[in-house]
Amino acid sequence: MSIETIAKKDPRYTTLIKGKNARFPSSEADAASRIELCEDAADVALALQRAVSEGLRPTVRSGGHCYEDFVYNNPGGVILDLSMFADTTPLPGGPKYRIASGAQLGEVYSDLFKRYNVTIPGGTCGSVAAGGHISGGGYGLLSRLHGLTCDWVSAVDILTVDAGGKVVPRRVDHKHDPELFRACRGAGGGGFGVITNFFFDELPQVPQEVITANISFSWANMTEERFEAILKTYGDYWETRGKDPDTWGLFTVFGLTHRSSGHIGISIQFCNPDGTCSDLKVLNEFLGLFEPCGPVQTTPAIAAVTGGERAMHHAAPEGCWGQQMMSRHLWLDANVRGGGGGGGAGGEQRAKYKSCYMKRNFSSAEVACFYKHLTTMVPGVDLTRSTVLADSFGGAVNRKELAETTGVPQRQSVMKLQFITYWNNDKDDAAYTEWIKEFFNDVYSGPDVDPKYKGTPYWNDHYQGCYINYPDKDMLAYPFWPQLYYGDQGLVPVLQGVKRRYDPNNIFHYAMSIRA
Amino acid sequence: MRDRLLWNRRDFLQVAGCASLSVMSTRLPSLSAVGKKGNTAATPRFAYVGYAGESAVVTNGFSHRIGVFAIEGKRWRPIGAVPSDHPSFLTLHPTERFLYAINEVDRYENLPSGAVEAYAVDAKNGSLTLLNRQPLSLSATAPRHMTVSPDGRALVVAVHGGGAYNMLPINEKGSLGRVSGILKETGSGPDEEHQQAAHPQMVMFDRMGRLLGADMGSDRLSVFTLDNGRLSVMARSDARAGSGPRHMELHPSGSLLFVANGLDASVSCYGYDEKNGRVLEQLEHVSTATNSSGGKRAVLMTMHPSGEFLYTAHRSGKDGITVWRSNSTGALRVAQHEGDGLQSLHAITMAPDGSSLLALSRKSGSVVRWSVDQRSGHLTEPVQVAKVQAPMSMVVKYL
Repeated sequence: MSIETIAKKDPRYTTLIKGKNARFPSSEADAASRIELCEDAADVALALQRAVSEGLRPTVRSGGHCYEDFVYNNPGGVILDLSMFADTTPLPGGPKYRIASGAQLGEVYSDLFKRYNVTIPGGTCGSVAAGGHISGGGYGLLSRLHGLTCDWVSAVDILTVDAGGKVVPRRVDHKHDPELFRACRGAGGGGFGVITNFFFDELPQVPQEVITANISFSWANMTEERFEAILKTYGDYWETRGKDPDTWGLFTVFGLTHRSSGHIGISIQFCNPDGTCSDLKVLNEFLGLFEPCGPVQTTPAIAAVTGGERAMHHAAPEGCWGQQMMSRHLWLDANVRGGGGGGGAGGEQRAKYKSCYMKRNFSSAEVACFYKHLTTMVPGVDLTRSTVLADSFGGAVNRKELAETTGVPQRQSVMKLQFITYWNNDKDDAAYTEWIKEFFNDVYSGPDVDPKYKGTPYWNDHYQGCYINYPDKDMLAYPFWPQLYYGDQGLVPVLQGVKRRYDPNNIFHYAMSIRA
Repeated sequence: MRDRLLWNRRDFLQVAGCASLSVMSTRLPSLSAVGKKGNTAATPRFAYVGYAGESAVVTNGFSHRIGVFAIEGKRWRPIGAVPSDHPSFLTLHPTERFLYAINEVDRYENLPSGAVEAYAVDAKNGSLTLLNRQPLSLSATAPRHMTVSPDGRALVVAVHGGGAYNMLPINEKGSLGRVSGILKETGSGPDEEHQQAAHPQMVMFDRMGRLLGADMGSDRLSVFTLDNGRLSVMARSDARAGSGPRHMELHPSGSLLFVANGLDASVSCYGYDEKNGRVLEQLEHVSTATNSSGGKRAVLMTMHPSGEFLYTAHRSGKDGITVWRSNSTGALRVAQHEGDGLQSLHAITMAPDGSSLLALSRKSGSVVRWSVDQRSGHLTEPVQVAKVQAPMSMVVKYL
């Protein structure tokens, strides 16, 4: 146990005072006064108590991938860094599986596979760590087959601060502090306490093999009609056929990247529900849907802009399906490669994100908006790294009862969108944040949105709001933003009760934390 | 840092005629000091009252205002108003060239925080011009009180809702810089409704330039020092459990601290060690309850500059003002009871020369002024000096 404290004069301060999004801290005055590097749960408790006793605001990070300024805009405060607390070995006498908050997904997949042949159905960015990822949901390529990572969590170690200002370590589960436990399964995000460990009684087995594939379309000869046909083909599958359990081993990410990048593309991972690739009928059926849409050969360069890099790392192609390359991999090889894949951010990059849960196929009005903003040219603004990732969703995620026992109420969606724009120069901040804001606002001001909630994908027949792990401060302009993320079926009052009870002094707060 | 002097009555009367003195007394929460060159006794010139607007229509986003009044003898003539959101506390810079207002809100520019405003005060006609507004720190919602440092360079805010203190630098021209120091408090008390967490209520400077803070949520009195734009804790002391300290007055000798409590209709007197910046043990505790009131009531309080008389009332009570006589040991005796039937008092303050007392009555929408007998401390000749809709704060300008 040894806490390394890094204050302003330390040479490591400049590097560690920020995370993966170069926008934050927004200015020197917004930066924390020190970083506390913790190596175990006892370190975290001590560092947290110090911060609270000194009257300083603690914020927490493990992987450093927070999309907003929740960690790094902490003027004069303390950053609790859990990135070195990365154990994946169970505690003595403890539950079967344990993941410490600092463990990065790449390591987690690797360790759990090697030791137990199991995995968590988490995300694709190897350097994202468990703390924020799992407490805010944690989904990825195996989510249609196995649900969200938070769905599998059976207990959590969390440090809270009582009314008197004393740190209280807790082990919470469905029997002990059940409402706090529920909050940690999807609404946690550092708003109630510091989570140090996640525990699982059970985890899904790793697929034996998966097939990765790619379908790309060129912008060069794209027309609006063809664009609509492609998107609607995609969305129709997820709204209908994608609900059948035999398709749940199929997961796709459609990278709708701006025209200036040259291509849009769907990257695919497939296996049968039993974890084998013995029957490719479902995959071929899906691929076949797009043949009439005139796809082009996917190259590494294309895959790089459409997020299909995973499909391209193959020793030898298994074969060709039409013009598309397909290859068979052992699951771990396909999923853990150099960390950081897909997420993109490397520390010098600036980014802005938005999200939407969709229950239905794209509508013509939405498609028209997508087409407009993805083909618009803004002078002096390079949009080659601006995209909307339309992920397949649903399947095992949509077990109704999980809305009552977890902090994730979105259990009827079939697609999940992530709007992303990347840029490098701070002088371009306004141009890029405006572009994405206008785009999003346009899409969600159409006929499918209730005028009361114009500008947002508020819950109705088409939408289930937004995803808290893709947080977007622009949504603060709407008084119903908590319901956007957590629904209006009673979860928000539950979370407010948790806040009042377990964090009465509101020690754990950020721009979008639950307000009691 | 300018010299600060607390006057007792005798000293004041001796030097009142002296042309070259100017005194800053920031011990009075909503009144600044007196000492215009050449006056025999300072005459109040303008008054500022934060209040809810006349109509329900919101202009510029605010239906609340700060009204400006010209003080003409025992009458306040309204001469203007500026829009301001929930201006529940006002204070003047020691030079009286600038006025600061709390915006007691839970949200500012979509973030959970309160805000503070800086106004320039016109020396001739007393009018206000907004200089700027600063948000408080994230989660510093519902600020309650503030005070300017004796050197006029910093503003410290007691944040009731968010449970913290914020410090902001004051620029040369009187505008506010962004928050430079944040001190988050924790703590609780036995009152389940009001003491689930820390709730700082008031801040004030002692004669040594240290800051005292009263916390109604944690039953705590704290002494802070200011270094480099930040607050550090110097000493902590526990007030009576469940009393909920909300307002402080320092005796001119510097050795007694009177605390009006927010939760149990009482006033406590503690010893104060000015040299070392420490609150000492409780010396006196009296209930302010009268026949028709009592129980859990917040107490308003102000002190005569001589330290010999205290004036208390119950917030939202109808039982008027009690005058207490205090001696050098802090013992308190009731001297008079005045103003029964006065509706819903929201604030009471004393003129720096001890000659008059002002009270805000929210329900009857008025500002009432009493003359104070300098020997007995008794209140006489109540006059309604102004009619203002739902007043919530006030400050008087002398210079």
